Amino acid sequence: MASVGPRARTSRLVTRDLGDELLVYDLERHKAYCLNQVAMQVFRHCDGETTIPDMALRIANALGMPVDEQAVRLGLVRLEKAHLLDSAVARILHTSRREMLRTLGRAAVVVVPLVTAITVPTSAQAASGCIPFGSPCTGPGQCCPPFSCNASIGNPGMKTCN
Amino acid sequence: MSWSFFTPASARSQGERPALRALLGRWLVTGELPSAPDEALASLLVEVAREQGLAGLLHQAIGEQRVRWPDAARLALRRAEQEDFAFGVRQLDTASRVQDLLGARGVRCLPLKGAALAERLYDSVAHRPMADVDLLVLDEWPRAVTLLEKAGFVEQGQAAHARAFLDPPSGTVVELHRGVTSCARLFPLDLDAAWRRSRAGAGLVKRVPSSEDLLVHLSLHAAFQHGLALSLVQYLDFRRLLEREPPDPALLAQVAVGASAQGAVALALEAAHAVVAAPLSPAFQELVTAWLPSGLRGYVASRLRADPSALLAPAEPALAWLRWQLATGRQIALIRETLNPSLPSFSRAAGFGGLGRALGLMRRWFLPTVRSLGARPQK
Repeated sequence: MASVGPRARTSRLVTRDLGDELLVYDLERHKAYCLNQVAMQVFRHCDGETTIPDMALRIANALGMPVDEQAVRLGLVRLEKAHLLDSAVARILHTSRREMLRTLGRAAVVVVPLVTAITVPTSAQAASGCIPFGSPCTGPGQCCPPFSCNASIGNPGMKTCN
Repeated sequence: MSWSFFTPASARSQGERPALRALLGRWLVTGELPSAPDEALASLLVEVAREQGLAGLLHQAIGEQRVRWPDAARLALRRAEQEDFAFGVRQLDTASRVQDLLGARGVRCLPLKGAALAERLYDSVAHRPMADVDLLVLDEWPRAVTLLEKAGFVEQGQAAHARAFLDPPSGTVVELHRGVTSCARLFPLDLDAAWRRSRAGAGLVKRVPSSEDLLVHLSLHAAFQHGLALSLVQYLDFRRLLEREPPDPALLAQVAVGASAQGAVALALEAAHAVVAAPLSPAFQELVTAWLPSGLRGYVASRLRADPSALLAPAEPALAWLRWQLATGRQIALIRETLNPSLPSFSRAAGFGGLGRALGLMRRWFLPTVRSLGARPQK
């Protein structure tokens, strides 16, 4: 039987709940997202069973603030765009994204669901300016922990982080 | 505890990072969060917390304890935690792929250090950032290297005991180890026994070493490889291991003795106790007392316990002296291993002839070792 409500992806996702936001890493696409409280609630209620009106009600109760169906719809669109839903939600939504935003613009800013992409650094960027393993260095304190600046095995005349 | 000397005010008067590192160390020991009365100090603390691998944990603690911190610093910590989460998951996923890749061709490997413990000892991978992922190859080293290269990994550099490979699509670096430390033959690991003791990982990493093996690996890395110059989060690894998955003392003794790593384990545990108050049960205290080389007792009593902050990376350790002490009874082997570190079948850089290598290693290790014996750390 086809599900009546949207369903969130459960496979190949790693999540971390920070209380007021949810971090999600998509192992399929190697993208990471930060969901604010409203988006997190929408994501969590996407069980394939809960309809949009029910979702709005439950989320409003959970957050203790008014959350209408338009906010839920916008959250679904944003989650879908981030590939965090199992199925397309187009058939469930009957309003354009622009229309949703226009309607939401009249509501309090706090209920807007946000799904923000997190920039994933590379090894070198993560090391924040220090010199990575195997690269040339000239003295103490330059190498990324836990490496130190030593003569290179392959070339004793040159120092590298190892 | 010597950490109690440091306050935000003294951090500022002493200027700079060592005092801020000490502030963060005191937080780990006492639970008392450093207060950040203004943006400049908070911003510096954030930088040092990142350097010491503690940004995620600090962000969580500030949120839980509802401490007032300047908004800009809180935002920086939040971003750091987000990035560390994303990058950490990506790194562990790469480790998992390499385990699958090698495992499918009958080459076993186990994670070392951060990759072995981020998912089991920390609530989030964001709380245990790593520069790279380390994997110890248990079988057929040359085959493991070839398999990685064929899979598109690009070599970034090599040391006597490891080679670093970049995975271009993910931007992560995998350090493939054939020994936990340089001079690996000084610490012979029973790799088959380590595999038998290993268990399935609970997260992305497929298989992880036992607590006992992990403690021996961490200790060798800390004491012998880096002369105890570690970041705070690396010291926290020891405490978390002892608190959350305490090794069995009898099995630890068996593993450590088998690897001739008793001195390294004793020294690393003493250091972790001094730096982050790693709990040493009476059984562990007994092992430490029995295993600490006599030449290091004065060093531990007067230097390590007196000023634990001096150990924190990027400190420059008395590496040669410490290695000499840790190799007590095997110092000829240490010299031999230092002068000839390459195990069979390890590829060497072109043009690196025997005489040049010997002279280079003399300059690199033998002479500093001899010099440092005459100028060992003050007790």
